[in-house]
Amino acid sequence: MEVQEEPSIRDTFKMSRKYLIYILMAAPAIAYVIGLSIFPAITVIYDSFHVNGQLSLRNYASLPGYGLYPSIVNTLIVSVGALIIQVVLALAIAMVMVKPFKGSKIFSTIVIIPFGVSTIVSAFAFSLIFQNVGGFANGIIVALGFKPVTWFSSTLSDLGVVMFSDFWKNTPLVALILYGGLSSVSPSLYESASMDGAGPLSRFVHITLPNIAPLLSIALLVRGVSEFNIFALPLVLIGYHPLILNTLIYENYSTLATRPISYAAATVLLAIIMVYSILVLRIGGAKQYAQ
Amino acid sequence: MNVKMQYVNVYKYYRNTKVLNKFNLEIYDGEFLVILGPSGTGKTTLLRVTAGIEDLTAGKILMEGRDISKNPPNKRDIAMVFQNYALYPNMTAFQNIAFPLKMAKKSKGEIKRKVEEIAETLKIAEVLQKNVTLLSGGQKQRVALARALVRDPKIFLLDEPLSNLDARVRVVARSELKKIQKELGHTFVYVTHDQSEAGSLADRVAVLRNGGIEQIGTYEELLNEPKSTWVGDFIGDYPMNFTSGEYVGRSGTIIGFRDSWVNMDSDTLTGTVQLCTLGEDTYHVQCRLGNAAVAEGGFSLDDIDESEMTQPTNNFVKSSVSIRVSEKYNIGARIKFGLSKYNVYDSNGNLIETVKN
Amino acid sequence: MPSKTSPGIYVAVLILAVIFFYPLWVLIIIAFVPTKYTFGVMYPIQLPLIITLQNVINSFREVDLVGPMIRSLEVAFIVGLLALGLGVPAGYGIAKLTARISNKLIAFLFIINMMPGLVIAIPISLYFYSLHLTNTVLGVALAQELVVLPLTVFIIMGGFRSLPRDLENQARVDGASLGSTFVRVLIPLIRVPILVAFILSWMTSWDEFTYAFIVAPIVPTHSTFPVTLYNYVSRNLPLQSATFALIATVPIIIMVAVFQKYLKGQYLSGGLVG
Repeated sequence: MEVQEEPSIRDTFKMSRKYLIYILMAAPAIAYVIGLSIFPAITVIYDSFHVNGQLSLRNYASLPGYGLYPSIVNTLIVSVGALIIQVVLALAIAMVMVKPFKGSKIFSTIVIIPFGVSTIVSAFAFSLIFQNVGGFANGIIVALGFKPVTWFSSTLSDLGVVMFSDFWKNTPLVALILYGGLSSVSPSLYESASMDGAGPLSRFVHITLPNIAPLLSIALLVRGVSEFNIFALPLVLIGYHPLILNTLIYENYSTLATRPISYAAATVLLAIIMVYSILVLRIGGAKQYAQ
Repeated sequence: MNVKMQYVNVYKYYRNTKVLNKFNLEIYDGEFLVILGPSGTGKTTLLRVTAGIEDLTAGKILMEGRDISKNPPNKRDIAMVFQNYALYPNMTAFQNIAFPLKMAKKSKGEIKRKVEEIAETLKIAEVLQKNVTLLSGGQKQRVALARALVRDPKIFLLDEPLSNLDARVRVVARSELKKIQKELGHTFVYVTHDQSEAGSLADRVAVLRNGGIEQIGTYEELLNEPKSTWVGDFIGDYPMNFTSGEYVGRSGTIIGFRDSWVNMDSDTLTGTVQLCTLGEDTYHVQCRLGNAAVAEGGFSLDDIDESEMTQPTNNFVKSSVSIRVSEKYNIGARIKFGLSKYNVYDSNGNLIETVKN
Repeated sequence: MPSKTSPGIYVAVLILAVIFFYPLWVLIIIAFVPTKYTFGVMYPIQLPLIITLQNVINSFREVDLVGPMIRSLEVAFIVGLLALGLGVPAGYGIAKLTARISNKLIAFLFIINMMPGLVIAIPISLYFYSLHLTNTVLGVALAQELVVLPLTVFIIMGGFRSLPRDLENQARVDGASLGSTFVRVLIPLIRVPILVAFILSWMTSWDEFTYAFIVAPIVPTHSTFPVTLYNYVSRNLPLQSATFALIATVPIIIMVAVFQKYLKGQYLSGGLVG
């Protein structure tokens, strides 16, 4: 039998063969994601900087003429407004859900169900609720003795309807995330705080908020990114007036001549989302939770 | 005796740690081999490499002369009992035990017969239909054992299978295990850090150190003639006593002896009592040896100097030794005793010879 | 001091429950109350005092509701199954890699997930056009897969990670091949994560609009239910739309109600934490 000498460096590398199998198993999924997202994204970015095959900024130069700036402002207004509405409502739901009460199961079912409702269904339902003339919302308002509201009367009110309507489908997810954080806070913490004379507000600020801060930043990241991507809801509720970034992209995409404009706008949207993600991660410190 | 399995220059590296470092060992057919060693010496790695769960870095493992080191675990014909039992939680005890037979494509009737037979032997027949997550610790251990024993593999690997049991159950399980192994003539490789298990179970004990075998032999051999001061310190309920001495003109040697070799009827050694504590049925005296010439034994213990001891040739050489006596001594008292036996080690801690008076 | 539920809670519960149920309520009223009490008046009735099935029956007669639903079902099942087909091996492989590498891979998948759907959907539809995948069930499913795959991989990886490490080693030693270790030992043990991943993928696909809209645009005979619904809404067919919306939402309501405990568990928020 041949004498085997001490293993060389090469032999120690041999062990990674086992890892090769694992990497091979993960490869199809990762390749899928890269092939269907990174490549398309690069195509969009590349095309946005080219006109007739030449490197050019002309697409970007003409973007303002298609309503870029107002659409960015509108997108930001809708996103921030919707986020605030959702976080407030979600916090209320989560704080109710952690408390024991009769019918809590039915309650959580009712508030979670919209999570599964299609965005289009939600958009349609709210288009029935908010109508300038008639509609369900005005029906209630009139029944209560007030004057009917013209919901779609200005850019801001239009955007307001969109950001409010977005709450239905998306609050449940935020609520579930925050519920995860709240349910991990020990009740004895609240009890000892109230013995120390802390009122409800001070308990919320000093106990609840710090405990859900990391989860809140995760919710803000996830929802914020989706918020910048809302498309179906404004399409149904307000169409192309006022424009938000996504409807701007789609409007120009659907005409062949203005397609490069839509690519440039898409690149701008991508940049905004990246900046937002980095900001949330930096400020919220969600990074350590992403480990 | 036939060699069942053989490790030839086996290396196992984890990144830069050499867990097994030129490991060589022969395992005989039908023997109960216990692998003993402090934690982190590669005992479990040895079993995992043997079973094929981990690749070895270099070397060969021969089973009945054939190299199995490249075979996947299911092609090695080895059974293994993991420390935490690794029972399939979604199956009943019966299904757990039947699993290896099912994998071996045995017939339904044969599986049923064999499972019931081994369950009878291990006294778990009445829990066979229960889900394993509902079983007690002892029952789980028996199911894990049954799942290994229901097969007829070339070799059995057991990784501290009794360590999760409480002390009383452990002693019973131990004797049953030994009985079954002898009756069926199985070859067992049994990893433990529990010396009493090694003492009561093993035909041979292999002591692992730094990824290799420090010493292999019966437990008595390890206890009485440790090949190194390290083994002497490691094996036994109490570590062996070591003190530096001069042996037949060779200075720098180390004398090692166990408490039980101390003979109070003799007076070849003199010590000063430093501490006297009550043990189980004897007093435990820590005494400092000095100024004692032992002509008959052929060695003399130097006048031990504290300053010398700060740079000992071996970590286990102590300025004082512990011996058990039957009477209480006051601190400072002089006692005289002799040794029925002692081991002489060189300055590197390797055994030179064993001397019997 | 015994913790007694304060009546304030019930006020909050009532208000929140009404807010969250109201949009569904509106759809129910439109679908089941005769049109003369809804669209026939300035302010539609708020309570379903008179109920009719005529709206529903008419809707089925007038527009194609079944076709888009079947296509959506097909798409959702393809998306769910493909997610498992790609996600189960990937989840296993990533769970087995060292934490350093696996965390990076997961983070990468989730960063990809943040890319705007429209930005990706547009070039994908151009690719798919040349592959003859536009306006097909498979095309929509392949595009939507992108949305669900990262979360699927994460959930499955979590499932594998939670298993005792020696279990699969034991199976291998017991004579099982890699394949039967998977089928007989590992898969049965992660059936809950698999179920959760499948349901979430299924639901996401059922709801997904952007990719479906771009890859299978408004061609009545090819689009999925959300795109078709958009079509009916924009053609101003509120009655048919309400019926359609309700029918398409019923399975989702049942699923959410049944699988609520999994949604509340660590899977969802855990996935988002990753």
